[in-house]
Amino acid sequence: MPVPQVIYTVIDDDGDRATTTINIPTGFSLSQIGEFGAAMATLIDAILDGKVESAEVSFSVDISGLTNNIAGGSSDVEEIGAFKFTTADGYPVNINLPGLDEGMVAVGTDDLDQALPAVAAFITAIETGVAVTAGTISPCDVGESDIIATNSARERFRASGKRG
Amino acid sequence: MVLAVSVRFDFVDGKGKTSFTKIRVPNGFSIAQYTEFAQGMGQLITDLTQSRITRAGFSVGLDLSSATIKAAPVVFADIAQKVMFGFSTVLAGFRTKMKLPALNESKVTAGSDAINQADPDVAAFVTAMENGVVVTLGTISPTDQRGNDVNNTDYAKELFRKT
Repeated sequence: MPVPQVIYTVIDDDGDRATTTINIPTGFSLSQIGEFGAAMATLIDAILDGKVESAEVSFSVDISGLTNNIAGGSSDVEEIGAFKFTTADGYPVNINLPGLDEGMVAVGTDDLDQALPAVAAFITAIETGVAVTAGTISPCDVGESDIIATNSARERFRASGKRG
Repeated sequence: MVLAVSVRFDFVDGKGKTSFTKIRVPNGFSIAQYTEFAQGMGQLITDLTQSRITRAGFSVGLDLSSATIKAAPVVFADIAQKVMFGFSTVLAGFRTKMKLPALNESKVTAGSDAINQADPDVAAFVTAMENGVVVTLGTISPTDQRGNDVNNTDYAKELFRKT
């Protein structure tokens, strides 16, 4: 399993950005990593003419427990399940799932069949969250406004290499 | 402002093409809880796609308000001018490298490409890489990608790369 990575973004006088990465051991809390990140940002900024603009820590998740996680022979990441949601503050959130199962599309339309268990379960998880130990994590927008409603769920096609 | 946590899933289809998607979730949960969320959501996504999830992960923005950071880049600072550090780890033969963009030219030893490791700022960074940073109830010491602790600086030199 890859170790956590603290990734710093540096901006220069032209407005160009570049990143640098520091690997750290597992076993520390987000609070401790936050302390490390700020302290190391000070040290890095001191030896640069550029400015440390932001930092994040990235974790890999063990997905070996997923069931039926195989690529179908005719699957294509260009075939997208395009979901449009609304947050509590009224902002739109788009989530695109590449490699959509054709069987999720309502016959004769581009709409996903929201009555199908797999589609319904995903929408419910986005709108109301996923139960985790001692809590529930509910998806939101980038500003942390909670997703509360689904506007549409459709089949779309997009060139590969683009964000899913 | 620290933004929402980003949970990312990477996919490959039956033709070898790749893509990814992101789902944002609030800050305030633990690493273990975000891991549970990613695994649970990963299964739901798997159930309605035919592509394979090849990687799942999440990124948490760090609050740098307690760091001492210059107000703006120095005039003529350029990310193409870098310093490359080469480190050894506690496991013999396993080395790691890192590049820092937009190097301060004054950290370079005159007449060479070598970074002046006697400079206090450079020395402080190198010490932190080798020995770690003290945090509440512990010390976080950088590693290579396999988790081997960085314990020595082999070289530090200036280099230039295309932007």
